[in-house]
Amino acid sequence: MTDILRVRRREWTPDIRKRYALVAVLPAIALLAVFVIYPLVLLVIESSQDGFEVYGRVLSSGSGQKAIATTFTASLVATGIVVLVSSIIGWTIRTTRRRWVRALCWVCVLAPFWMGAVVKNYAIVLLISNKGVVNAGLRALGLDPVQMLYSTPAVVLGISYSLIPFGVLTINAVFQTIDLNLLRNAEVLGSTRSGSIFRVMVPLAGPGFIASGAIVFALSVGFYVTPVVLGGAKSPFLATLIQANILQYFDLPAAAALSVILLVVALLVMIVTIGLVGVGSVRRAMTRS
Amino acid sequence: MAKLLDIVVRSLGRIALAAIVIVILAPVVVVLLISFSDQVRFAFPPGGFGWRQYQELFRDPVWMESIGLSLSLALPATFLAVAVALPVSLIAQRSKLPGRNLLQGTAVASIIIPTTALAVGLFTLYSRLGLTSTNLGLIVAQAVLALPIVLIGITTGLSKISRTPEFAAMTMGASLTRALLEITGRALLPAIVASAIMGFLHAFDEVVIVNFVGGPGQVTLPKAILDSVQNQTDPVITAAASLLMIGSALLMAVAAIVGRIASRRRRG
Amino acid sequence: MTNDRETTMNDDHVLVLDAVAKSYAGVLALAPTSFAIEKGEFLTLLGPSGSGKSTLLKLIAGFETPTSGAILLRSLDISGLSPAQRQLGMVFQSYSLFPHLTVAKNIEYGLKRRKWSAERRRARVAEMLAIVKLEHRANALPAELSGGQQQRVAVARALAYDPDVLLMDEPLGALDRTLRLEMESEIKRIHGQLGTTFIYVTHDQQEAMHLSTRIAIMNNSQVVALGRPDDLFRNPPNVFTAEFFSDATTVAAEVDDRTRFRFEAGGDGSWAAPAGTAPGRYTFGIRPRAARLGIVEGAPVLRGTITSSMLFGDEVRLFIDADVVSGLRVVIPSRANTFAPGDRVDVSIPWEDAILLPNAPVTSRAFHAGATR
Repeated sequence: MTDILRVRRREWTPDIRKRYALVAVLPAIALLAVFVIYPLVLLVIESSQDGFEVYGRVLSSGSGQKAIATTFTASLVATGIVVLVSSIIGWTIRTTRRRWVRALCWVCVLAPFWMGAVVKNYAIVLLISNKGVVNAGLRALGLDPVQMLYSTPAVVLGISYSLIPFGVLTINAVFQTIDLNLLRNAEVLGSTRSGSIFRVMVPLAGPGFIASGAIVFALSVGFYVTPVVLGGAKSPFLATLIQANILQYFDLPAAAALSVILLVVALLVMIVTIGLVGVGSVRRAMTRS
Repeated sequence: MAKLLDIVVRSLGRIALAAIVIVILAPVVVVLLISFSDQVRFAFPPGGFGWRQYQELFRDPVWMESIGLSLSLALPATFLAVAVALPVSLIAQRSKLPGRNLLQGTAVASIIIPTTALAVGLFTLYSRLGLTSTNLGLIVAQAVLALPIVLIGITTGLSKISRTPEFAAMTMGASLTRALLEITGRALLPAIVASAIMGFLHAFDEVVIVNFVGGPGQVTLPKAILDSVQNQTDPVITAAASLLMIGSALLMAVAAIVGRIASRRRRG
Repeated sequence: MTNDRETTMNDDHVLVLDAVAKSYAGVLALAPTSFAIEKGEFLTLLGPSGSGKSTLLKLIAGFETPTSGAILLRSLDISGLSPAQRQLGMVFQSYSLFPHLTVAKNIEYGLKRRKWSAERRRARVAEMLAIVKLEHRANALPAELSGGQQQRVAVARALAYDPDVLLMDEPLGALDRTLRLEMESEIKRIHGQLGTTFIYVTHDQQEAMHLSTRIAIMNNSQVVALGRPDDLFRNPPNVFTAEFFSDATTVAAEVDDRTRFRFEAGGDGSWAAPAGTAPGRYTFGIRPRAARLGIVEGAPVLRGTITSSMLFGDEVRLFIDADVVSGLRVVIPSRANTFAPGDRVDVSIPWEDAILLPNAPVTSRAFHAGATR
C-alpha cells in the first residue's frame, strides 16, 4: 500500500478567496467611505462646531420651522398620492384583460422616467404657469386664470409625478406575488369585487405597501429641483432654504444642520419601517424597481 | 345594495384611471408639441409649427457645449459605477468575505440618502479637497449616485444566473476565475449593459450636486435647462427636453431588449 | 503507509473512498464511508433526499472538501484538489449547458482547457456527437434543443476528454417519464460503449435498478447497503433497504429456542424457521411479489381483509389489512384476480422469497462501512 501518494490537504471551496475578494471590493469601500459616509459625517461636524447652537438657531427661526413643516407635510401628502395612484395603475396592469390598457399604463409608468428630473418639472411649469396650458384653457372658456405655479400644491404635484414610476414598480412587485384566484374565490363565496379587494388584498399586500410608501417618503424629502422650480426660490422648503444658506448667506453650518435633519428623518423613517415590516419587505421594495 | 356599491366603485376606478393617464401624459405631450412650434417666446396654444426650436438648439454653441460636458461627465461616471458595483455584487454572491452583505446593503441603501443632504456634504468635502468646480469631483459624485442603480441591476441579474454552468466549467478543467469570467460573466453581460444604461441615464440627469459643487463653467445639459427654467421660458428648452426624452426612451428600450434576450436564453 | 487503511488498493480500483466524512459546523452530513470502485463500474448512490448522497458526490467532484478521510483516484489522494484538477466528468440535473455556446463548442470546452490541437478537438467533437446521436445539431444553441437533447450534450461534453470517472447528479430528474426511460437506455448504451466508470446519484430505485452494476443505498448520512442490484433486492441487509429498495412491508417477528417462527403481534400460528436460524427477535419483510394468496405448505401465513385494489395492466396491486400488519401490499397477475375489496384472504410468504432480518445493529457482509460513530 506504499503506492498511495498523499497530497497535502488544502481546503478548496468554489468561492473567491477572501483576500482577493477584499482587494476587489476595496474601491467600493473607498468610494462609499470617502464620498458618501464621510460627507455625511462632515455635515454633523460642520453643524455642531458650537455645540448644538446652530440647530437651536435653525429650529427656532420662523423660516426653519416653516420649511420643516412644509417639507414633511408636502412629502407625506405626496406619498399618499403616489401610493394611491400607483395602486390604481399597478392593479390595472395586474388585472386588466385588455392589452392596450396595460400598454397605456406602462407608458404612463415610463414617461416620467424618460423625461428626467429637470425636464419633468419644466414640463409641469409649461402646464401650470400663468401663461401655461391650463390657464390658456381656462381663458378660452372665459374663466379667470388661477395662480398655480410657485405654490406648495405645485411642489406636491411635482414630487408625486416624479415618484409614481417608482411607486408603480414596487407596488406592482407586491401585486405580482398575490394569487388572483384568492380574489375569485372570495367573489365566488359571495363577496363583491371591490369588497374582496379590500378584505383579501389589503392584509396580503400591507407590508409591501408600507415599505414602498416609506421609500417614497424618504426620497421625496430629499427633492431639490421640484421645490426650487415649482415652489420658487423663496418657497418654504428645506431644499430651497439649504440652497439659500449656501449660495446666498454663505451659512454652511445652518445648511449642514438642515441637511442633517433631512438625513435623520429619512433614516428614521426607514428604520421604523424595517422594524414594522421587516428588512425583507424593504429590500424587496428597493430592489424590485 | 352591495351590487350598486360595487358598480359605483368600479366606475370611479375607471374615471380615476383615465384622469391619471391624462395628467401623466400631458407634460410629455406639451413638451413635444411646443418643441415643434415656431415662436420665439413660449405661448399656448402655439401659433405655428416648424423646426425653429431644434435649429436654434443646434445653432447655439452653449447648448452644444452643455451636451458635450454632460456626456464627458456621465460616461466616465457610469464606467466608474459599473467598475465599483460589479465586484461588490460578485463578492456578495461568490465569496465568504465577512461583511460582504453589509457592504452591498450599504451601497444599495445609499439610494435613500436625501440628495440635497449628500450635495451639501459633498460641497463641504470638496471645499476642503479643492474638488469644487472640477470635472473629477462631478464624475465621482455622479458615480456615487449611479452606484445603487447599477448595483441593484447587476445583483438582480447575477442572482438569476444558475451556478451549475460555472460548476460544470470547473469540472471540465476551468479555474474558478476562468469559469466566472467565461461562463457567469458572459451570462451576466446583458444585465451589466442594462444596468450601465440605467446608471448612465441617472448620472446624465443629475443636477443637484452640479448645482452645489459645479463651477460657473460647468453647465451640464440638465443644469442648463434648470437655469433657463428659473430665468425665462425659452421654448428652445423644449427641443433639448424632447431630445433628452427620446434619447432616454431609446436607451431604456435597448436596456429592456437586452434584458429580454438574456432571460430567453436562460429559459432554454 | 499506516495499517489502519480500511480499504485495500487494487490495480482495478479507479476510485477509493477511505473513511471519507463531512460535517458542517459539527453537524454530520456524511458518516465515515469507505468503498472502492472498479474500472467500468456503474455505481449508483441511491437514497431519499437528505440521505447524504449529494454530499458524497460533491466530495468526489471536489465542490466540498472532506472533514476527514481520503478520496483516492488512481492511487492519488485528490481530496484537497479543486474540481478542475481532478479530471472528472460531471453531469448536473439542470442541464447546465453554456447558453452562449453551440452544441459543438460546449463539447469542445473541456478539450480546450486541456490544450488539445484544433484538429484533434474537431475529430473528438464529431466522435462525441456521433455517440450521443446529435450530429445534426452541432451548431444549435442549447436553448434550441429539447430537454433530452440538452442532457445528451451534457453527457457528451463531460465524456469528451475521457475522464476516469463520470459523475451524474440526478441527470434525469428534470425530464418527464417517457423521456426518462428513453434516456436511461441511452445512458446504459453509452456506458457500455465507452466503458467509463460511472457514479450516478438518484432517489429513484427503479432507475438505479435499471442502470447499475452496483448500488450504494444511503440513509441518514451513511451508506447502509452496497451490492449488486438483484442481490440487494432479494436479500436486503437491513430494514431500511428492505423497505426503501425492495419495497417490502415489514413485520416484527421472533424465533424461539425450538426454531419456531411466529409474528410478535400474535396471529394464528407458528411455523418452522429455516434450518440454522438462531433464536431471537427478527424483522420479517414481505415483498409485494413474494406473497402468495392462499396457503403454501410450510410458509408463514397472514390473514387479512382486502381494503382496495389498483390495476397496473397485467398486474393488480392489492392492499390488505392483515391481523399482524395493516397496509400490506401484494401484487398478483390480473388474470388471477378473483378478489374484491372486503374479501378475507390468506397471504403466504414462501421462505425462499421472504426477508428475515435479525434485530441487531446494522452490519452487512456486502460491504465494510466504517460507520462507527
